[in-house]
Amino acid sequence: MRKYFDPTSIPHPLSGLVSYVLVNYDRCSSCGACVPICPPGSVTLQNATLQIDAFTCTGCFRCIYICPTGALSRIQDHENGV
Amino acid sequence: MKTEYDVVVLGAGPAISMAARTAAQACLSTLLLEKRQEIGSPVRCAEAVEKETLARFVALDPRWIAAEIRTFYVSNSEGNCGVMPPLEETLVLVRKLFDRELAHLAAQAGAEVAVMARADGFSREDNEHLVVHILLKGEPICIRSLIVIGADGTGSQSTRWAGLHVVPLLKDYFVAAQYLVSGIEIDPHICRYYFGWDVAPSGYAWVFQKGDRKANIGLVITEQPEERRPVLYYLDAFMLVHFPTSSILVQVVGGIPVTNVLPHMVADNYLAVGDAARQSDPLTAGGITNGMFGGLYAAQVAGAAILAGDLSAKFLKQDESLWNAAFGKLLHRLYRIQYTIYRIPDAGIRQMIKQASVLDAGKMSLKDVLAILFMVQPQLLAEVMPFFWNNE
Repeated sequence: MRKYFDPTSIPHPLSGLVSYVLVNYDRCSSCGACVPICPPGSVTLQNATLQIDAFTCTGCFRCIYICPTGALSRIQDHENGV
Repeated sequence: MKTEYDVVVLGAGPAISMAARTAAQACLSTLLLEKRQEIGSPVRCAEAVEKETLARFVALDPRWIAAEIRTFYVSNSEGNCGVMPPLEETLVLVRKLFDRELAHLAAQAGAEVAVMARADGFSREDNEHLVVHILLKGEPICIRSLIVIGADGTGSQSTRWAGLHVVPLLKDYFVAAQYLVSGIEIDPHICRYYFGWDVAPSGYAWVFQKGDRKANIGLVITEQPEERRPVLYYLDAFMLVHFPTSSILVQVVGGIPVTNVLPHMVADNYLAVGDAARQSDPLTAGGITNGMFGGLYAAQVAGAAILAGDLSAKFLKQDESLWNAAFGKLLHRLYRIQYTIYRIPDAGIRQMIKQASVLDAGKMSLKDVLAILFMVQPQLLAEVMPFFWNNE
């Protein structure tokens, strides 16, 4: 069962240096509020499911700031147990 | 479905159904594409709209009107409550049925409507046509079109493909959450707004009656200086205080860019309307009638462009001119007012509503409201005065 979209599963040359966003699909209502606000356009809704392109994500966290349901969080915070 | 159309419109909201209807009435072959399986669902709207403005577009039908509102109450967190003078009679719609009715009217006028049709990108074969790549029930097809009108909402992809997308600033981005609740007892003709930083920091909450003991209860916030919580958290807290026993039937969340319109709403063979072009009212974030006007202008210009055989962005710029003539100045002002109003400190809001609550509701006029507003926030005077000069 896919519960989290885990960008770290994709090999990235900068993984570990770049911070990513974790999506909790149980909270996400696929409203798309994070889509226009993303500067590189990494966030998209595909078949009403939120997808974040880890290769283009710059880690600005604007999507986390505006998320209405609190479904997005920083991977860093998860690792640190915040 | 044909492979070539005069006008292809993306999304089946009120703006685009209006555009499709206008285009079809002008005898242009029109295709209306909706990516979801159902037109009008899910609803992302507080569903309130001005009655007179709406009546200019469609014949009002009790089937999709849930309630009529005559009075607005404005409350602060201390329980003071002011009555706003009635500005314009407001309707609360059943958007699901309303959108479907508009799409039906477009179809009646001759437009083709397709659901489960998701646009996947644009490409060019020749100078004249834009090719729209569509996934129709999962099957990829290409449709050649002279004009594409994009009204795919706030999360618009088509504006990105056309190169018109501008990332909104956080201060220009409203985030809203709304519940449709049942089992509440309030007067059917009254709407309530709640202001205050403990209710909705730099925003407001609303209770729109929908009749039959149902109501839309929502909350909108903008950028805040401190660390903020998700808007749903504030809405849950609000519900707990004001309507603890009601049941939630529908949850709606979403973001609304209120940047004022996009700097460019048109590209070669392409026009953006509605929320895709950020045509919402920046003060209230309401956009149904604005979008319908936008759709109307876009379809008129598209028709003229096809007749003239000139589909360049230069010709389509007429759409921007039409929009700016009708709404440009007004929206720009509202945007500036919005910026001042939502940054009034908590104490100021409380004082304002307290002063308004002692006024006699029957005799109160817009002047009194403005007087109170200016007393608390003198900067607003500078923003609002040009309105009156323009009117003279």
